[in-house]
Amino acid sequence: MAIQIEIELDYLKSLILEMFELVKKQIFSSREALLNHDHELAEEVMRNESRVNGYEITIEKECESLLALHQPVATDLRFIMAALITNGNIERIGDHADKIAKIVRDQETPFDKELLESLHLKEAFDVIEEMMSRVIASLTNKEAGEARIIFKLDKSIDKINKKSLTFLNDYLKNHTDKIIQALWLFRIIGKLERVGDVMKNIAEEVIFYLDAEILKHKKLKYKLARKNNQ
Amino acid sequence: MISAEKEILPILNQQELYTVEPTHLHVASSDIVETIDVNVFYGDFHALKDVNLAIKKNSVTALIGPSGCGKTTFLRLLNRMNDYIPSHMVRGKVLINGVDIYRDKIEIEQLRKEVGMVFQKPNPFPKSIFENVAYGLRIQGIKDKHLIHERVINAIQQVGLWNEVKDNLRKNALALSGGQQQRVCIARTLAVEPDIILMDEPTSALDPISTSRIEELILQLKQKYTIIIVTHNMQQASRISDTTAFFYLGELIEVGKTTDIFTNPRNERTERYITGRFG
Repeated sequence: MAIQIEIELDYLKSLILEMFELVKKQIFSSREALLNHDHELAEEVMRNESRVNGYEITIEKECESLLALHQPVATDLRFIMAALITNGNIERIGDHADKIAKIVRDQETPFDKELLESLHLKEAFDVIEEMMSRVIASLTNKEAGEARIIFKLDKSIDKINKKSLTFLNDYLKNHTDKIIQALWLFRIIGKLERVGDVMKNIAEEVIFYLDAEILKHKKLKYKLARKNNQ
Repeated sequence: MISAEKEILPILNQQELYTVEPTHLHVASSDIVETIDVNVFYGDFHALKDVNLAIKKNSVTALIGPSGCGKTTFLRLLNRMNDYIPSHMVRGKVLINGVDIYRDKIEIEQLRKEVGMVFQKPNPFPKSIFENVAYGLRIQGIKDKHLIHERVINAIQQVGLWNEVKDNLRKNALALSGGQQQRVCIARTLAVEPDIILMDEPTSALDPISTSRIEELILQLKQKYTIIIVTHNMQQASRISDTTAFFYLGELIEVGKTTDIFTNPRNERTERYITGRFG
């Protein structure tokens, strides 16, 4: 028979996973809205933002109750600490999806297809989605290996971000009519780059929960080390 | 003889347990207690199995584990309290201040003076507060009234009871609250100036406020003494101890810094026990 704390921890985990899936869908929808100039989908993302916020408050209360009533230790404590930090970070990703959707909604004309492609926006969104899928798998299977890959994936988003600046520097010399669109897209890339960083923070928390390893402010080679040893 | 006296007297008055040629104990290193391959048997029952544990001076060590795991046996091993149990046998080395208390020629009375003990239930004698605290000193044959007075006052102050009882030192200790009685018992242990204090679930019979006062006291006492405490209260172990040792079925499963044990235990059995998933 499961003990009460296990029931409550399972519930907390299910809330985290539900929130994660919701935010993953928010990111996916904001991408689709951006690429297809879909105002309706952008509005849906904005409406769903309040659901994300609702999850954040529910999870915070659940963590508070677990800490106050069960005085958890060991894995249980690490999970709740990780859940608290992850909760805030997922909410931040939700905010970025919401802001991207707002940018899309405010555009009267679709973004230039060539510009979208040259800035590798779809690829950046794909990497974010892969990051989220891997962290969700890591949490579900209680296996930190998938979470460790996040640190490498983040590098590819950083590259897209850096390249976009170089690209726009040349591109805008000959396409002055696209300056506004280019600035909006550059802003979106910046948001995706920050989502990548937030995903790294989440991965650190998941590894702390599963492997009791503190990876904050450590170099990439250390973050990948456990996986290579396995 | 009153029941509390039955419990405490063997510790304080050990004439019958003397071994030959007493040797005084000396502080040798930062490890005040060390057990090496210790095995304890009660007849056929193997109560402790190859226990190796070193305890540092001026630290609090919590012994945790389910009932019957050997933690109290281990505690009582350290001042030879198990000697009273028929068919009890010890194998291995138990070093206190570098002296093997089961092999070397030691004076049991001296050992008990240096390794004091506080029990689960407060066990004051039906005597005044003063006489309770002075009891161990008188048993030791100390007759100097000034010395006794000084030690008693000092011990009562150390346990934080002075302001509560200073005007009633002749009051019967049994009239005090449970928490105060337990502090009198700790004062009685401190009066003989031990190096080590063994505590066997010292707060299990107390309310939360008294428990909290004893816990604060333990944290203060470690500046001067080494404390080894058996507790079933995981929160208590995590709050007050520097080191935690987890026993199971007579084996020392895991020992480490309390923060490590309660955040990242290495052994799965420790993890299951402290998270309440045992059995």
